[in-house]
Amino acid sequence: MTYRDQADEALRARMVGYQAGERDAFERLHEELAPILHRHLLRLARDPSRVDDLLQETFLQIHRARHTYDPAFPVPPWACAIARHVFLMDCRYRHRRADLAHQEPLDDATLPVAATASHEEALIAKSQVQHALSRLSESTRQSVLMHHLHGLTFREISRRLHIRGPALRARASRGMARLREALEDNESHRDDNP
Amino acid sequence: MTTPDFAGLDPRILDDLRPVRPLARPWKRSLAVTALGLLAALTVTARFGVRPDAVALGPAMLWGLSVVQAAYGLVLIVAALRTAIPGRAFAARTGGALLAIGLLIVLAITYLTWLTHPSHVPATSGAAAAYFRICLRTPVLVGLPLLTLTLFLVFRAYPTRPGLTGALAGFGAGLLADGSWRTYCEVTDPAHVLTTHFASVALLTLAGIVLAQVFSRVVPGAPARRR
Repeated sequence: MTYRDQADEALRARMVGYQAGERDAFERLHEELAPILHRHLLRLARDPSRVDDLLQETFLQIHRARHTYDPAFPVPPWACAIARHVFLMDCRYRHRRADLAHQEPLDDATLPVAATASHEEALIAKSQVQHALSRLSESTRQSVLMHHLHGLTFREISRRLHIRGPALRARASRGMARLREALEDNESHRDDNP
Repeated sequence: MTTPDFAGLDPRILDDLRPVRPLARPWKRSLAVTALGLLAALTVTARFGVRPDAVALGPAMLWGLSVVQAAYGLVLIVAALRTAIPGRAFAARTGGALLAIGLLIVLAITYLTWLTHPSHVPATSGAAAAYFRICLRTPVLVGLPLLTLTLFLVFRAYPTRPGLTGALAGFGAGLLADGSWRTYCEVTDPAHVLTTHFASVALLTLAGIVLAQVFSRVVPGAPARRR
């Protein structure tokens, strides 16, 4: 029996224990499954800031669906299918939210102000982001906004903008790097001229 | 043993670590639908009798083909139950292929029955409408309880693809219901069979898709209800 088979057997045993209501089995399962699911979700979302929330939601859904696990089959494909569903639901949710945002554009009065920042600071930050975005080319700006603000996948953006996947990824990544540079420049100017 | 980090874990999980009974395999769960399908077939035969051209068709063309159609309906129902299990769902292409095979089976059965004993809807006034009404309505009425039971079983699992699951369940229930109805209807004309009998199967498929989509939004614990 290979190491992989042994690990798989151990996961199955823990999953069966979890179905039987054993807390210890669940703790071990969580410990061993979390890194696998984290990697899987990171591959899907390509955005580390989303993965923690998605992982938490995946464990909640695994808990709700734990009776559907069949011990005759390995645990990771079952758990990864649930993680993938959670990811797709999250994308749909973000998509709907983005559509709503398009229908009802937010004005300054309805923008939430961060708890740590004053209204004035939030407005400054907003104008800085807008200024930095305006320095990007139209297609790069669209790629960045669609992916990072509206949560669309690269495949969906590719279909909408008629740009091939690798070129789109490169464009979005370049756009984010330029945005970051522009914002850091602004920050350093503010520090120099308080 | 290292202490697991539960900082990001939803407290609802740790508060609810009660034992659960694992679901049986899809084919075992489909036995309930098989039993209801048999009951439906017996009810149809007892209520309406056997078609008048039974002798001309022979047992293979009458009962044999009905069994083949109903058996494939059960295969689709098992596929629907399997698709509701995470990690075991069929790809959309495989699901489409399963539905296409179902359509080919219906076409083959229609053609073979027509070749063996051609018969038409009587040419009297109102006969076409009456045949259309009864041959559309009865299989739909027989198929609806089968579809409901299948969807009940589907939503006890975790259907992440309600559209495909509903289509498989609806087509399966439709084939089962029409498999028993064709032992009564003596018209073998493909124009009647495809526009009426198959229309009932298509209606049940559509009902399966719509109901599965609706259930996935309203059934507590269904995957689409997570937000």
